[in-house]
Amino acid sequence: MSRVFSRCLCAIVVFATTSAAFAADPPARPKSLDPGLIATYSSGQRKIVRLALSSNFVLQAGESIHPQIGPDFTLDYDGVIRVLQAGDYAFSAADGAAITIDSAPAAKIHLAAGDHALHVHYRRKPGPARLQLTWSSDAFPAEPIPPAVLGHSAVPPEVGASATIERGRLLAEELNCIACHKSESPAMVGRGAPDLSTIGSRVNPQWVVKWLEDPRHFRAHATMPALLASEQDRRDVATYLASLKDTTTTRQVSTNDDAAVSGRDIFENVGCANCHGKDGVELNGQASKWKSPDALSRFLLDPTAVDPSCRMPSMMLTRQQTDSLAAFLFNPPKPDDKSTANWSIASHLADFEQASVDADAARGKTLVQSSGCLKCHAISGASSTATEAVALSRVKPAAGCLASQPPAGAAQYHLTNDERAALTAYVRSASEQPEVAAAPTFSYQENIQRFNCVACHTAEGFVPKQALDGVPPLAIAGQKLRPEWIHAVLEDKQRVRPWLRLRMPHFGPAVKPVADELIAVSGAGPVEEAAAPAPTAIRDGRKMVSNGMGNFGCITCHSFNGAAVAAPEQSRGPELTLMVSRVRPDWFARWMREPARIVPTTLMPAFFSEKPASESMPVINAMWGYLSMGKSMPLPDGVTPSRQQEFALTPIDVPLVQRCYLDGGGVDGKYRAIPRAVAVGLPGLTCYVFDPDLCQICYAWSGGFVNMTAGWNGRGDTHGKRLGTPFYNAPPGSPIYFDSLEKKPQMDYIGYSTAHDQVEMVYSVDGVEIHERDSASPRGVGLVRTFEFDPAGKQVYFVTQIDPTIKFSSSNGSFEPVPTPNGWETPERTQAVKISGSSKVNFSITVTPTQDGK
Amino acid sequence: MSMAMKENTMNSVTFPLSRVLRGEGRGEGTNVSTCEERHFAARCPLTLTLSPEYRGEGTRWRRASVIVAMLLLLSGFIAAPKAVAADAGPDQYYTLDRLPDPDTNLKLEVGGLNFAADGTLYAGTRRGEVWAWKDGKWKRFASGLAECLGTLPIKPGVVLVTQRAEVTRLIDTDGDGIADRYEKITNDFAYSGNYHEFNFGLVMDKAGNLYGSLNLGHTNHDPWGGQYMGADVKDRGTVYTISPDGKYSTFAWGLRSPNGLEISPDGELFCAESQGEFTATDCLQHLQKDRFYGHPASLSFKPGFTGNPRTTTIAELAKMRTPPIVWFPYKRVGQSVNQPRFDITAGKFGPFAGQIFCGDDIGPILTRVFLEKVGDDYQGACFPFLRKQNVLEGANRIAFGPDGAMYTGLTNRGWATGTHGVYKIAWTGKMPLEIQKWEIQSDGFLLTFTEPVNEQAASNPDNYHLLNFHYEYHKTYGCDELDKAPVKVLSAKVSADRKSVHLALPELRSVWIYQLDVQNVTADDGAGIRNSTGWYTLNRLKQ
Repeated sequence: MSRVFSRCLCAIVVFATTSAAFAADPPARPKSLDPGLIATYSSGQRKIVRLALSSNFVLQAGESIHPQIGPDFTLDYDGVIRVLQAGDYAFSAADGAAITIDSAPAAKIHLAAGDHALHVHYRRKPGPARLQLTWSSDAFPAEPIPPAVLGHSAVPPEVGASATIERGRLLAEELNCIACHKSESPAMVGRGAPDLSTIGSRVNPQWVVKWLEDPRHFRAHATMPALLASEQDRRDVATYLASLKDTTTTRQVSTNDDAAVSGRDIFENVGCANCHGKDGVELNGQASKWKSPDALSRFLLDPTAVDPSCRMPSMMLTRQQTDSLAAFLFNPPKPDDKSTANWSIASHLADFEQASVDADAARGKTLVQSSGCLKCHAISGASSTATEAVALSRVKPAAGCLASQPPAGAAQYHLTNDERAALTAYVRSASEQPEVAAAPTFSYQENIQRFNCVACHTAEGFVPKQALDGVPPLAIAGQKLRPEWIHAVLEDKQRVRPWLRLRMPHFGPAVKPVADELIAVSGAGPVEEAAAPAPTAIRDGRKMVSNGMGNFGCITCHSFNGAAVAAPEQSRGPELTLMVSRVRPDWFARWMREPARIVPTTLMPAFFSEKPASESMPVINAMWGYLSMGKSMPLPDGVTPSRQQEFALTPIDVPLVQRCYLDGGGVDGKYRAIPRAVAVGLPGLTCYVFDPDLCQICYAWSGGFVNMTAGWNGRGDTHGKRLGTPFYNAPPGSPIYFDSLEKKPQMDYIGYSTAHDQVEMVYSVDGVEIHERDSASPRGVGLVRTFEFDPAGKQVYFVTQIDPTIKFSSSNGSFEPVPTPNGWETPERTQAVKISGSSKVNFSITVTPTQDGK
Repeated sequence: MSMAMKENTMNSVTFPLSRVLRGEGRGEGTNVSTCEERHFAARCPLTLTLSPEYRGEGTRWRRASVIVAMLLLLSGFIAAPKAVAADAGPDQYYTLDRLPDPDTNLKLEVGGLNFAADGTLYAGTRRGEVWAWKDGKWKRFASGLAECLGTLPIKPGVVLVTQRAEVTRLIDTDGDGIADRYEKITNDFAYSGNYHEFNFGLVMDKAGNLYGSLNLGHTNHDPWGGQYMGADVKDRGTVYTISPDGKYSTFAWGLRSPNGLEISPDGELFCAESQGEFTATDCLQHLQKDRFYGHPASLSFKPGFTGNPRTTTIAELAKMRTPPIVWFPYKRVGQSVNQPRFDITAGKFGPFAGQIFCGDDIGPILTRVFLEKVGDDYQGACFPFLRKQNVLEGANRIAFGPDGAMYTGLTNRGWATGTHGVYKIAWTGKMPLEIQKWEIQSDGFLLTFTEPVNEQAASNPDNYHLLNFHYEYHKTYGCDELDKAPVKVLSAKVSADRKSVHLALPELRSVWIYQLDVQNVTADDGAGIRNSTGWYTLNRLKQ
């Protein structure tokens, strides 16, 4: 009953807010805008005109807006902006872009409802650069201009040509032309092919023979060419490949109807059908292809382990689930009546089961090495003997692989005419204007197609075939999410709604660049952190999150530390204790004030509709202050504590020291596990960890201390989990050297003192007893490391890494680059400061995170 | 004559009852849990115990109570004779009181417990605090440790502690009763983070050497042939020593789960082990330098051992191994017996001065150990001492206070109910009748009671129900009591002072365990034996 009610309530609120946001809509909506602005990029003699589906960007030094345009470019956007409600508007963009509307400067302008001509002119200066088109009006506070109100009317002829060239470029990458035809572009990415070292355990040799004849006969989207002209060659190669086996024994995997029906349920619901549905990547003939259901099941557990291209991601399924999927593909039932997924699958393809195989494996191996197979595939113990092809810039149109009837010896891709035309256009364009720069926003546009992100997500210019609840739009991801969280999702399998059946797959290492590209395409500036929450804010914020009269009752829909909530799974909100480590504070404020302005279909109610900032912001800030405590948040009213006692430690007025086995974490285990950790939390939640084994501070973080819940429940293993966000990671190596950087110092941990509510680490370096006190930076996030010791006449060096994300400054002397000192375990670029004074030195090193080196 | 007849009749009734209670009626050699039975007994309001008060009132009353009990049994009103509680709880001899809990969010789950010379009791906890009990108040001395399983105050304001990955000196430099310096003494031992890699401690000998012990890890991949425990990293499964100048070295090898060390007033080291692989049941070890105590995991890093611990045969291991000096039959006394402590109260705690007391990680029982030396080796007997269901479970550490009382700190989170807190056990001054000593003789045993006993009953060999059995040294987890059989007592000869009884046996078997249950023997005031059952570990015969 209450569930139904809360859902209805949400729906009503959403309806109300949606209509409030667009209250001034004209009765008859004009036809929707054609998305994207017409962009003209120029640099020196070069010029490119194309449709820019996203207008914002963040570029690092040396990066550009387009691979064929140098980093010192000029940019002009032309298009229209749709104004729904007349009013006084103000427009701005970072880094001094000039915005004109209807040919008038748009810093402050009165606009009538309707479409207006928009022009943006921007000149890139050397170094990092950023553009984010922002507007505000008397009706709403500043926000990035939503892509939905930007569009274009007139399309210059160059735009169509650019689109063909871009298509050709993506094809050249996806067909991995550059594996044989070397490209000098700093921005082209090829496509790796499956590792064949154990292919004999995976697929049937009969299938291989037929597949080698024409991959597009098996699957229309296949990117592999046919390289072997004769049946004998193909049989020899298949025989060789069949001999490449691993030692795993085959499990019996049942393919009976029950298993197949469970597999169908997974196929239709976790997301498989989004790529493999109608007009997607065919799945016919899997039973002809795979050696056994077990082989297929093993592949499905982690396809990226076999295929580094990561086009087929891991769906993060259990072995039982992949067994069911294998059963489904070997024995597909009819689609479920209730299913909206549109698919058809034939398990067997007769002509892939007929070849005779038993042929000459040795000759097959020679062929695999000489025919170019190993340009894309890897086989352990085999290497390519194929000759080099001409460089990509010298490829002739309509010849070789690009001929409509490729000659013997050329790779046979069975290209369509359109594909040939696009590839030819790209090759020509790239030889006229060779690629010169990495272009993250351009790569982003390719990557969301390459990895088929747009099968589920809406993105600039893309709408998935089927509307999917709860899948966030990509266009705003970088404006909404912290960079660390984007990385954690793509690289560390972090999921904020693990209960949803439709799941974000794990794509493996190839998708890594997309995280930075999402940030690049958002145009979002550095995250500006709010001040540490005041105790009153924590109290008020807790009240609002709680259930009860006058409160927002966030926990009705959002999960809190995994606690069960009343809302049904589809409409359940993301985990509250992760909120602050996930979203940007500026986005949180905008979202809270008007959620439907950002995502019109959201179930998140608007609590502050039409309330002035003076009323809404104190409440929003208090909630943020409370949420900032992450896992340390005191429980809101209405959440029952879990049976396991929670031990999220929080220093309030004095520092806390907690010895524990501090678990590692971060992307690629960047923050290593420290078995004998001395974790120190300072009031205000600036924290660091000292490793007695290495005798140094290893990393520092802020926003939470340590959670001992795992280590202090049950049998207990004293494991602690870091809370909050790291901002400093010191490579293993002594920070202090005496007289020379060439002699590895002898270090010994002595202990620590907690006298006078101040933590002082004590350790010795070459016999000198070092006293180190660490405190929070007085200005925002950062750590001030203060050292005091008597070097007994020796010259003191303080060494640290050179890291664009961290600024180091010394109270005594300044940092100069130095060769990596003896004793540093990793090859870091290092800098050192020579500390003046030879007895009783006392100096401070301030460690401040910077946003991407700015 | 008629009286004797009646006595015999009654014996014939009660003996099988007690045998059933101990699981003996269900087939010899099986390791039957008596815990559930005792749990029942604790809740059962009607007991068949012939408690000393009633016994004193004469045979008629006794007979009557037995008859009532039999009727109740027959009527099915109570189930089985489980209610014959075997072990004493707090009573007119020993009191049991809980100290108030300190004001801490973390619960006083006691991992270390020791008195300082000034009478302050220092309790270290599993969640890393050290609390000081002085003048009826707790004060937090230290916090933030990674699991404190040993506390050793050595001088005013200085407490040595073990942490998971370090042995640490806590110093209160400014005298405010709160440690403000945490100094490393050593961390020269390996630690992988496995939950079972405990660091138990901590005792100091007269020369100032420290000793602690490192638990094996709980590994699931059967690394050393054991079912559960193994050493993924070196140093696990050993006893270590730290010299006064801080040098770490291994003292003894082949341990498994040595929870808590003790040093005797003469400077000899002891620890208890709990049942597991290569360990038939809980036992007491006499730790001597460089010896090997039975679990092969630590052999892989023992200097001079060149074999492969996984493939070394039991016969070879047995040759290297120093056997336990006292076995604690599983669940007869404890289930996971821990740190032995010597009664150093010189009689303030009752008639057991110089004897050993142990707690238990799981069960609600404290166990007493009598040791004697045969040749150069210790062996001896264990007896239940105090049992209190739903209270004493997980008595993890024991310390004797300057007041002559025993203090015990509890924790068993993760293995049982999650007990915590400190209890004080004090002798009331009233002398209990107990088997104070159980010594081996060339032809049998000599029992010494704490009080003169009723000569008539004590000289009747039928009142000494003796069994023997043995354990096998093997790699699987635990061992049943093997080949258990009754042993006939030929004669029972009472000494002139009526405090000792010499039991003559047809033969004595070494490396066997003898179980004794004394019946009907009473003190002059009519009191029965407070704990009438014991187990003697006979490693060596006396010539």
